Amino acid sequence: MSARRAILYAFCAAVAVFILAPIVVVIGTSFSASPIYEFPPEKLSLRWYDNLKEVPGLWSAFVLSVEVAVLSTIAAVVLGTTAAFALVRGNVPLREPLTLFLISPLMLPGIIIGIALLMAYRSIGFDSAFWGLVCGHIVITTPYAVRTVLASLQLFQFSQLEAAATLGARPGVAFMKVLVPQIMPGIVAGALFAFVTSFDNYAVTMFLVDARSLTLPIRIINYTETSPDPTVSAIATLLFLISVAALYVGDRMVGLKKLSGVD
Amino acid sequence: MNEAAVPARSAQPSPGRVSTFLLDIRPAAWLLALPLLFMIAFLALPLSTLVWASLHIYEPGSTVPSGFSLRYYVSVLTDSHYLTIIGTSLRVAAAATVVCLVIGYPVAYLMAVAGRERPWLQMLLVVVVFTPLFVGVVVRAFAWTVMLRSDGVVNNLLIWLGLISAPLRLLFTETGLVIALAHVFLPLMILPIASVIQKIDPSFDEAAQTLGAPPFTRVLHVLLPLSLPGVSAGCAIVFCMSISAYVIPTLVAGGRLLVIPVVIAKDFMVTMNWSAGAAMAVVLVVLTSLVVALNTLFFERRARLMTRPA
Repeated sequence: MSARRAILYAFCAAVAVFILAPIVVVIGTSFSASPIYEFPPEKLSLRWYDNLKEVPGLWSAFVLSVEVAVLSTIAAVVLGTTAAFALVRGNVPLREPLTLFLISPLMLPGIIIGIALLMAYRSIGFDSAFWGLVCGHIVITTPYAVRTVLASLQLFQFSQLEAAATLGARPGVAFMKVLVPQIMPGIVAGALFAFVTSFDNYAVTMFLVDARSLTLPIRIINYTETSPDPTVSAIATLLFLISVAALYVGDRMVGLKKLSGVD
Repeated sequence: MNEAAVPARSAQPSPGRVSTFLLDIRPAAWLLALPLLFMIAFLALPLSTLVWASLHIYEPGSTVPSGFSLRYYVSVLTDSHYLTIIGTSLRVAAAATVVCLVIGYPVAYLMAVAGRERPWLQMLLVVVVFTPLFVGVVVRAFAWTVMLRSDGVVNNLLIWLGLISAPLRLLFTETGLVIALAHVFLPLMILPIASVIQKIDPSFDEAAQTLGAPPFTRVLHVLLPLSLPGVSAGCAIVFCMSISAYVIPTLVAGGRLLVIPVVIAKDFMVTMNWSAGAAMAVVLVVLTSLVVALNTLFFERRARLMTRPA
């Protein structure tokens, strides 16, 4: 290995450490017996995990986050897939501006979408915190589904459907057995990004929740403000495990390289 | 790829039915109606409300406007209080972008070229770079509040290395904020650059090598220019995400360091000064849109966004 190669490898290893360090440190502090964030922990303990059940409203926040994420992911996949289908197959005027409009929430600061929805809800007197929140999350998750399904539909050769028809497949069969399996990776990728985005969202959510129904990110940040102890590290570690599970699903169903765009 | 051929039944369905169902392109356009209506109702109309509010006077605490005025824009763009906030935001976002580019580019390069000889190394880098994107921003921002404490890992490491004698104050500072932003958005710099470098034909580099160009010249005159679209996209994304970030400054800088999103949130949640917040919000959107538009103008004229299959 040449010296230049060695330097490049060493540099990249250092960056990898930088990328992973915060996650490792948080996991470490969650197992520490000390009430200050201690890394590496001197004495191991599970007390912060035990303390999770003492945090009021944590479980209900988790449940609310899951509900909102599931509902908005389903809606995002339905809206995103139909939109992508129309954009690829339909005789749509203004195709490019409309596509840009549908994926624009990816580029808009979350806080802008949050305050805009807050003002709009107030002005029409829409006061269901739950459905207001779900609709807000659909706005920010749909673009992911539009983008990933669009990408896989553009690779699909629609002549395959004609071939299926010629071979005697009825439209429904051709659709389910030829088209759907080929765009499935796009749908799964879109659903994963949508779920993670909704589950983690803070900037849009903070304007739309009321005091009685807090999502998990809001509850976590409120907790860090009132009692800064490693209980949050324990929550973060559990959330990390959920992320790893989501990534595993993504890797099995789509492939990590494809998901990350490096393929 | 799939067993499409279902045994033909006696009553053969006509291919014509398939074509009206999926291949005729006009009806498919109607599928756009629902997504479009939803986005108009929950995105376009609320954003118009926002712009409208920024152009009207709200008495503090009131949700009913009382008159047209440009005064909020004038104060956001001339008042030194607001100009300082915009300046801090631009400086922090630019710094985070530069840090991401400098430490991200070599990683993107290795990630792209490793695929040819060492697939395992490429996979390893993809896992390391991509995993944090699935770990929420809230968790990563919280992690930096732990890392940057005066008795935290970063200070302990610097003291242990003998680089400093007393802990540095990193939490609630611009330096700490830039480190955290750069960490959180680094994958968004690496991935676009890696995907562009990957598509560069290796024969360009070989040709330069054959013609006797030393490695440094090849990087400067072959690799960098050809990877510029990725660099531009990565910088645009990281800059926009950094200047729009709310959770990271709130946690890492405790809301004490005033950046645009923190100020907007204060205007809406604390001081109830809706018009000022809305004007600031419009300025932020214009700023990020400009960055995205510049990137598109220079590097994405081929409109990768919406190329139809050949």
